[in-house]
Amino acid sequence: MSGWSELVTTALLGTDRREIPTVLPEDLAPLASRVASTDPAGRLLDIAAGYSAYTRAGAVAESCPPPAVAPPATQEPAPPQAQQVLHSLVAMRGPLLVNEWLQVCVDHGRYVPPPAWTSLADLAATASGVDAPLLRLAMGARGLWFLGHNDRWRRLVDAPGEPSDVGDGHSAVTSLVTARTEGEARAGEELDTGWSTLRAAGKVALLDALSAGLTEGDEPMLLRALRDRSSEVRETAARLISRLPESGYARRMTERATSAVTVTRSLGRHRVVVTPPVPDDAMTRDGVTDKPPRSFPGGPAAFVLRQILAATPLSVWTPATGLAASDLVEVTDRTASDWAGDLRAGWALAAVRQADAGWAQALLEAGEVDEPLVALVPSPARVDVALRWMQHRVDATRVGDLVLSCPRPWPVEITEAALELVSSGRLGHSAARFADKAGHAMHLGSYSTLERHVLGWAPPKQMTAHLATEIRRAHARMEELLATRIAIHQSFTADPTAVRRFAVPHLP
Amino acid sequence: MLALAPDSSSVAAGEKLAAPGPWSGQGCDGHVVWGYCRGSGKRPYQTVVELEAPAYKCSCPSRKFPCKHALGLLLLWSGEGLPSSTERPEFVQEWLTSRAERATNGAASRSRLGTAEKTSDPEAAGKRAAQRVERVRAGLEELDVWLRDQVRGGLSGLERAGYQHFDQVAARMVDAQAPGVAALLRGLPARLSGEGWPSRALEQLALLRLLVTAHRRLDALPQGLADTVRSRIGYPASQDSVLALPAVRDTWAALGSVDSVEFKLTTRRVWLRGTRSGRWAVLLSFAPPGQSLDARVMPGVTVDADLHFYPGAGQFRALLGAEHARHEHVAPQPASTLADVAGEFAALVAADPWADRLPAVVEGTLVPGQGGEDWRIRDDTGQAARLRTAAEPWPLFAHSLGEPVRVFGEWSSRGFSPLSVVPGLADAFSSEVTSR
Repeated sequence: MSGWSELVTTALLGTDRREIPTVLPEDLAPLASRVASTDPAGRLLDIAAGYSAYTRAGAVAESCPPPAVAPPATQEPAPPQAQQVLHSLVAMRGPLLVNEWLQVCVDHGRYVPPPAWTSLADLAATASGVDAPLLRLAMGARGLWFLGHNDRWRRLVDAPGEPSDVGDGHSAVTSLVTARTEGEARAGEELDTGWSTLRAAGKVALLDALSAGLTEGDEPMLLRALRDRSSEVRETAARLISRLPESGYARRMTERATSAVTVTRSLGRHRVVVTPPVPDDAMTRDGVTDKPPRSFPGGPAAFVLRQILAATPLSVWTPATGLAASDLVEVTDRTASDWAGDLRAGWALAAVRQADAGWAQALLEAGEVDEPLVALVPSPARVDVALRWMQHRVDATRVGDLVLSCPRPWPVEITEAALELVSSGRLGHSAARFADKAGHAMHLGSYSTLERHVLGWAPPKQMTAHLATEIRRAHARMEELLATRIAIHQSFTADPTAVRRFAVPHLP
Repeated sequence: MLALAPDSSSVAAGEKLAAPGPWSGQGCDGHVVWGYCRGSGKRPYQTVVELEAPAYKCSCPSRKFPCKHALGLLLLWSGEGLPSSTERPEFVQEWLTSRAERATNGAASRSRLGTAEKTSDPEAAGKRAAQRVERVRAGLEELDVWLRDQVRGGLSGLERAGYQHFDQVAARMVDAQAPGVAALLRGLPARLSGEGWPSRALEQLALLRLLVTAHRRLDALPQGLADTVRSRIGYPASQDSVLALPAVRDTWAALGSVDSVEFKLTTRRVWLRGTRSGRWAVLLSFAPPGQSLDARVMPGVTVDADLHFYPGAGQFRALLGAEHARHEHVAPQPASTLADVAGEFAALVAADPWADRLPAVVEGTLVPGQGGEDWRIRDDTGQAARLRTAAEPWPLFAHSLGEPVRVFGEWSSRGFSPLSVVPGLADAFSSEVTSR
């Protein structure tokens, strides 16, 4: 025991209970001999005071092996004015603008300057929305080396696809993948051994592993997964089984679907007739349930119908009805309006699962603007539809959703259409929310058009003051966002005076 | 300029207002800047900043000082600039007039006090001083009894004794005119938690006892040490008396500053190093909540100025006297090895046994603390010292990336706290260029 800890122990217990040892360890002895106080408590304090000064004065540095050095820089860092812009963007905690900065940085072959690393990494690690793969590109080799030193940031560095914690059956997935790649068709066995021990994430991983080389032989396993407790597992299985149009499952679903939805023709006019199917044991075995979730808008019959349509190969409809997809949707809307919403929803889900761009476009033109569905439609077609809708005064909220789904940055005509949409007042009080998103996508060259809208806009007579304020706010928001984005781009070009004109505005 | 901000949220808020958007009627002349800022209220806030002091006035309800409007206005002024005007709005002129009046009154009352002291009887002054010594002595004897009682009964209950246990003694020390001792006692409870607290408790009590025993022998101590004991106990040293001491003129480079808050009082330490003498100095300023600290000399500037040092061995504290010239950059700084710094620190503790802070410039590579270990800095002799920072020093690590950096900081027995990166000799050329 060192001299100091002897003193601390005595002080803790009190000198009334424990004496200062008469023979002190070597390091305290010379000090103690010079303390004159005879009162034990005072004596202890005096020795401690001297010792404290000794130890503080005597602290010496220790030797240490040299630490690692970062890999050499291979690129130039972003210019100082770009670093300033990034600083403001990170302080505003807006992931979309940060992503745009990162993209421009990568496009210019630059990397994020070191002074910005810490706050950027903290933002990316704590707020959602910062594009991690893009961040990795923009950080460069030195930046990644830096991020790797901090446990909180390491997940930004690690490439995705690392196996997550999927439960005890994780080895089952691995061995299944191995078995598959080696061409062994013993998936069923693997499933039986591992399935019940897996958590939902593990089951999804296992099913995803099946997707390479999926065959009709996998049907029993997929049917089992279709009845799983987890909706994520059920959806994965449904997506996979829809890729097996020759399976017994697909045949049964086709039968149910085509007898539920038929097209009659009289006097040259088509008519869709819907006969809701009655659930039976065979349907239950195929995972169809008549118990809709609480959030479902319709009744059990509608829910069953949707599931059946979603599980039926879309390729059966044209041969069965003699109508192309767009015509079938149109006739349904016109003649079976009670069921049209459910039929469209079922078809939309089927189109997403089967990745059917033709059906997706047909449904989009009919007004379905669900995000995964729209994503299937090639962007020129989306732009076409959006522009057509603008002219035909389709429900403005839908137009808005579609416009926002167009890939960024928008071409000039979509940008102008979006501006018209905002200025028209047709978006009502969702204009500012629309502008919030639109500002991130507008064409960078449209600033003068935007200014024209902002300066030249006056509310029509019949418009309420409240709505006019909303539109002014939307204009201001788009102007702020666009100016910020222009500032981001220009901060990477050589001319700093150009940046000044578009100094980053300070967003609320 | 952002160093004027009371906290980091004010910086962010001020930066947001540094655009012309929310402002109207803004303007400036050589003396003041002003503007009307649209806020949440119906009427725009009237903001005015006097540049010289700087001093601020804003009609907003914020209790921060300066408020975000004043900061934003200053940033706008320094960034894009403000339209120059010869006519000040009414609210600006009113405020300036009332400020000028207050300044005159203040000066008048100060000079009255000064004359009162000067004309008073030197015999009476001596008597007052003797009375004070007697009062402090009596207080410290009581403290000694208290200290020994703690050690006699055992420190084990101290961890849970709470603030009140110390506050009572501290209040007694205030009555005994030993405010320095009172502050040490009030700071104690905060150190009595976490691992190793018994060791820290004993050390603090022992250092208090050392003040008691030193004060008993005050007349026998060397002059420098006696002054140090007096300043630690809290004998007053009036600014006037310090400013009356001989000046030390040098070209002082401001290398770093640190603000700390204790008992709602913010303390700012600005460290200076004499370019010719190598001597260290610290300028202290204090501000209660809502008031701003002295920002006349901030890191990154060099002043050719007179400093007046407080008396006492191992004391760095000084007051700024006459300023002769100013440069907006800092010359390259020589660095010490960690062994040298440890040696200087030992000399400091020998001169002032209560000392636990030494300014130093060291050059080294940062060694990140793996898995919760301490970060360290390693110099080119292969020695390393613990880094002591409020947050992990990632920005500094991003700056160094495994290469040596030259940093200014405060050295203590618990480790080195880096405060700023300073230019080394290799940067001499570039710093010449940037200063132009």
